[in-house]
Amino acid sequence: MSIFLLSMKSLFNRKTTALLTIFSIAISVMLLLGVERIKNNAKSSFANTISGTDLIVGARSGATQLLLYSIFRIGSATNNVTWKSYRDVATQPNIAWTIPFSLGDSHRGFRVLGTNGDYFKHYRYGDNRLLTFLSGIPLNDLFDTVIGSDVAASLGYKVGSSIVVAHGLGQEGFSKHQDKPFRVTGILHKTGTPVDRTVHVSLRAIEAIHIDWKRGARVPGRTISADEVRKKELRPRAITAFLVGLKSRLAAFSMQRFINKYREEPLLAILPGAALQELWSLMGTAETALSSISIFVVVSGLLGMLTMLLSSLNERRREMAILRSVGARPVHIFGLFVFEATVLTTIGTLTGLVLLCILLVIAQPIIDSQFGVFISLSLLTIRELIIISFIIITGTLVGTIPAYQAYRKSLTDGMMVRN
Amino acid sequence: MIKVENAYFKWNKSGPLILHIPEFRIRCGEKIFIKGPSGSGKTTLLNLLGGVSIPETGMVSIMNTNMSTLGSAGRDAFRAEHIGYIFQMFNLIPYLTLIENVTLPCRFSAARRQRVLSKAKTLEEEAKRILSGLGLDVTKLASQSVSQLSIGQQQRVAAARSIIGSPELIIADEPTSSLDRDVRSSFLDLLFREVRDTKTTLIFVSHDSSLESHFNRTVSLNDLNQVRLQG
Repeated sequence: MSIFLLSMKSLFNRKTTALLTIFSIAISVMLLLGVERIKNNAKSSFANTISGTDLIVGARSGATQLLLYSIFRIGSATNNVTWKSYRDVATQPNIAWTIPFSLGDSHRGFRVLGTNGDYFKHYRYGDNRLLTFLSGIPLNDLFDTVIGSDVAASLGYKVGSSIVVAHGLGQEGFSKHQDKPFRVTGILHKTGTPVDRTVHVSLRAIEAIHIDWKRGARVPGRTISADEVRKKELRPRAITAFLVGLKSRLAAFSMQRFINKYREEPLLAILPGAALQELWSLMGTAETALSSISIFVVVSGLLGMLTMLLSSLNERRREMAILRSVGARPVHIFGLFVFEATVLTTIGTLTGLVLLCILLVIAQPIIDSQFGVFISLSLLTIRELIIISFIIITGTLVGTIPAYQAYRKSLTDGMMVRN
Repeated sequence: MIKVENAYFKWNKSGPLILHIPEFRIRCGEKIFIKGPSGSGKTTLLNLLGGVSIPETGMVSIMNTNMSTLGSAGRDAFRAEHIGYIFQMFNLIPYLTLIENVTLPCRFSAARRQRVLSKAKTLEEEAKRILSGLGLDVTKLASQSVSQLSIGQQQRVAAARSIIGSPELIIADEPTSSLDRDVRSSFLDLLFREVRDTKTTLIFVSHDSSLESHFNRTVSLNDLNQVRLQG
């Protein structure tokens, strides 16, 4: 019987404490790997907020600010981009497509985005996915609107519902464009991006609802009805930002330089990937905190094992003495304890892994629908494998502490336990 | 078999002298009874005779091997191969089966395993043979945990373990003191019967003089040890 088998039998003899130890290691490993996986998926989900777009262009400000208000609908622009500048850039030979964004109004807490039909043709998110319709059709009439899935779900709108857009971004602004109501013509599929919380209308509609407004207030005595406005030529004077798709990605830097040096107006072009990276690094602290906590939980799991092995030392002195008397050397006694620690951490870690898989299978659809974070149920990543091996190696090393104690005891005790 | 010459022993260098044996010899195959009250240095003597400890000065030689010339690993290996032990009580490992407890020494000593396999097909077979020789019904007892056995049964299992693989020397440290008086004699009879055919040397330590008659020779530890211990 090898020492390994002996330690297995010895562990089995103490199965209650052994199981508890395994369980606490399993829980800690599950937490560590779970946090790790959610973190990575949240990060990639974040990075997937927008894809396929080569440049984001807005009035000159900070890259993060531009990204926040144009893509995440957080905060607002300090300045607009004139229509002329937009057309100037949009007609450059390298450019394949552009999507104009006009932001500034809201509907019951959801941002209203003025855009055009190119939005539904070119806007991509995630793994280069296009927006798709859960029901209805894209914008057609002037007062049509297409809403994101969260808007539809939380306000209970269906295709055909009528909505009124409020001026500005206040939750319930008292200045509403109630004279020009919109009709929901389409509802988009869930994307897990800010698109879900957006009310889309056409750029012309943004002009139309503001035609009888000046400097953020209705012009008294000058009302133009919804029907009258249809006959007018509606040309936007300015937009908030626009997305650019290039014919060749290689042109991204030269195009970025062109826009940033544009003479007519101070503009800023950013590369979405780089800006997203920069924004994510702002959240690095929280990420580090989460990781440190889960590392400490693993440490406490291993400390629990250490406690269990150390406290079993005394009651096992007799066992050690018997083993010594039948010819086991102190090094065998050492091995016995190290094997136990290795077995406990290995089983604990693998159990943790299984628990995590079960948990993810259950939680995945919930996390996906609630937070828009898609947790992949992929096989172990290299990083996870490294973490697992590291835990098992650490567990084995922790086992050398009681092993050394037992070794020393068995040297001094010999075969006679005095008690 | 065993030769002790002018051995001095202390637990540590600055500590008191525990044992001083001018001369002590045990012949091969001898069954020797060492008599001594507790605290007279029995454990120390057995540690020396079993090669667990070595004397500070002087010599202990077992089977013509001077223990002081072997390192601690060397003595461990020597002990595993040549010496079987029976203790006063708690001899068995609770998480091993009856048979596993008996065959344990063969796991640590290749020589003892070889000796068993030269006369029996498997270790288990030999373990069963010895256990039945000691009057244990193996088929009946094998199914239960060894900690459920009576003390008398446990001591017989321990005796079987010390015998398996025919070590040249068996050291028994008060193996009968936890047994009832009427069981003691039969335990000894069985033990003797098992070691009769082999030329095993048996060193038996006890304070119970009533067992003396079973042995070739009786030595009093007080005569042997020149140090007078308080205790």
